[in-house]
Amino acid sequence: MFTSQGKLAIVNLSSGEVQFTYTPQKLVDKYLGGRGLNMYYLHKLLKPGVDPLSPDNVLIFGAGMLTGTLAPNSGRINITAKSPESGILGDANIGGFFGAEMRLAGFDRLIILGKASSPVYLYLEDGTLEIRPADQYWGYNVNDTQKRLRHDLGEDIQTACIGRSGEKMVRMACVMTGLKNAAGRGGMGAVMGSKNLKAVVVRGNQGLQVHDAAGLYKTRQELQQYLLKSKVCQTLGKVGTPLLYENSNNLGAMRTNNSQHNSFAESLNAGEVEKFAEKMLSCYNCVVHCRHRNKLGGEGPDYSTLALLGANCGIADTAQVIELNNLVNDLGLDSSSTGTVIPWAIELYERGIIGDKLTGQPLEFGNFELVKSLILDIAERRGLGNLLAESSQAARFFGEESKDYLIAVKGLPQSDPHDVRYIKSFALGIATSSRGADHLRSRPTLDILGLPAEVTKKIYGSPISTDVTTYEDKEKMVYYHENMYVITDCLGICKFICHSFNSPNLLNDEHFATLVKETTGLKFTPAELKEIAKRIIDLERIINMREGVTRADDTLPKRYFDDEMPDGKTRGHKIDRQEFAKMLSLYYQLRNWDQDGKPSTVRTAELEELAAVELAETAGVSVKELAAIELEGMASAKLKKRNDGKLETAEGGVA
Amino acid sequence: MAKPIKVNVEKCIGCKSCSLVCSLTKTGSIRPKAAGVVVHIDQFKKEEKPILCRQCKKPKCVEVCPTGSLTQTEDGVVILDKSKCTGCWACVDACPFGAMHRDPIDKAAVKCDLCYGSSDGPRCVSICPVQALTLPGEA
Repeated sequence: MFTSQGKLAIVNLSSGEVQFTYTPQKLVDKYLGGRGLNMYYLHKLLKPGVDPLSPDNVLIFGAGMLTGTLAPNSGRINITAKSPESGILGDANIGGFFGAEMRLAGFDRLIILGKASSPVYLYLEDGTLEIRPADQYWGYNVNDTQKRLRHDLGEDIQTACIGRSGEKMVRMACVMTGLKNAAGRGGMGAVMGSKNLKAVVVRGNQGLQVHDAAGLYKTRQELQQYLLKSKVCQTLGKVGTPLLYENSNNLGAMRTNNSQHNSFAESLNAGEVEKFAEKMLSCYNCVVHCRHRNKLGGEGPDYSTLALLGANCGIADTAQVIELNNLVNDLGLDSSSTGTVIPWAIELYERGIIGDKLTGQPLEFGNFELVKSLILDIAERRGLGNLLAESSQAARFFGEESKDYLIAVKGLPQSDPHDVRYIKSFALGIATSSRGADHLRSRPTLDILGLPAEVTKKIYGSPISTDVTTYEDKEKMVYYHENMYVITDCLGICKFICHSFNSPNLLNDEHFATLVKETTGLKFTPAELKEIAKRIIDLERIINMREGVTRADDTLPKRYFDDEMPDGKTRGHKIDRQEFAKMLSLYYQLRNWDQDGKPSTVRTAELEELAAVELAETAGVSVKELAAIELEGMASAKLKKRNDGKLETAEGGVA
Repeated sequence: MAKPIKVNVEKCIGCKSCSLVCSLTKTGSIRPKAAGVVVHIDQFKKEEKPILCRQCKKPKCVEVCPTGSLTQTEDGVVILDKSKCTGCWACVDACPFGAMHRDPIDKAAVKCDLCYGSSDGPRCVSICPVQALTLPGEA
């Protein structure tokens, strides 16, 4: 075990059985934690082809290896399952305070199986876990659920919960903590709802040990001073991510009216949003503090929400967009998907592809009241909202032609409001992203900074073209950025302090290796971290291939290939299919995948060998045996052997 | 006489970095609830409030401590000898500012002593990324 390692709890909601174990070191060495180990367990435990909203889905809450520690911006955790929105892997990363508190309570990871017969929540405190009834919280949205739990359990808890949209299995329902922090992508909230799991509540007093406290404190101080000097960090701390709105809009790459246009109003610029900010807030142990407390009773908006519920819906009024932001957060809806499928439906209506019979009302861009009512209807699955609650799968109601206007990849609506027809690396990035169209798997946009060749050589290994509109070298960028973000997701570190996210500087694998060593005592070289990242991306590919993903799915929305951008400086740009295919092939080569996008046989064999490691090896109990064990209630006193040879009770005590 | 660390609640972003580093210093592990400075955060009530000892001239905590684990130095810093603390929480109840904190694991009180004896000064002040915690006389 490494210093600060916490438990893995396996919870079967169908049987009420709970088992505790620890992830074996040989798996930690290969997958680190967070997203990496989540993928390992998903691959191992998920049977291909299962209905994501059935009890067969596997839901995993996995903290990063550094989550909750003194490493800067280390408050993050990944929530992973098969996505009910896309049908492939679903994986969402969330900040706030929940993940850190889970580790402070002694848990690194929860694997949640089955389905409770009635609403429940999980309560974790200092190595113990209980399944508790949640009938009294069912039916409430995100804010009220958390307020009631705090009232009932005390204010020193942290909660990850779903709103009514999750209960109703809206396919783009989030898991939320606080007023704004969302594990937004892929419908992880719907998976919770399908399992009758309203919330996970954590209270951590026992805390985390660290390997080298003095070294870690010194490193933290040095890194903090370095980060605070960064202009990117300073600007994020002042105005938050809305700073990117102006950048994209001025460039002429703002998804507007379902990408029929690519520029929108200046009323959503960061300076306008700032007028509604009471204060900037941070997540756990964050030195950036990019989250607004807004004057309208919520937190945010971030750039994606601002632009997708604003520009993409044609709504220019700043206050109205912030109101919509607060609404989706309280309902527990992913703003990216919501802000993509509503404009999609509006365009379909305007084109006559869907009519009044289906919509029940006229649809138009720029109508705040309409968008607000549709959001509420989606959360409650009413009328047209019930169809839109199916997210991209609503195409089955809207007809085959409707797919031509859907801005999604692999069934996941695009998250970043950036119209990627101009920046070709960005286009490739959303096409290869393992969870579908998403920017937080790579966001390879450093080329737009026009960096000197010696700088890009240092980052990418060879100089890259700084012409964002060519197809040259873009595969190298996507490859590099994907690998980098896997590591931050494995460690539980925020991407905003990560090398290559909007900056050629900030923290890189060398920094991460130092933080890991000082926190855990484990030694990884930057090269080993890179190899881990590659392994995890290969594993994600294999998970997706099991669900039917092929090269044909690594593509872009039809509009990005066929329609030229109509407005401003980017006018006339679109993606060339042949050039895109060449770029994708080069990317596959870098990944050592064949031209169908299949990882090498060597890698496949390695992953299969790792998959054979017994889930509860340290406890001496196999997965099958675990499933077969009938526990008598939650207070089972079964003894299990730990790595250190001690016997541990189910309550976490040492016998 | 010793003056307490100044808290600017308006500047506090609620990151808890101060609590993390304090608990690491005081307990050897990261336990932000068992720190000399504990940040009370309630997003629903819009609160980010670091709470720490004001180094009272006539400290109630010292007055009520039955074991003599709390004492006041000549220069006015209230310090805790953890080895004598039995976790009776009399000081926690007596402090009018809620600035005595419980360490439920070690069953002992935790409080800010301005990193007494350290030549580097209080670590919470050093680590605060927004200068919400400052030394007396600093902005």
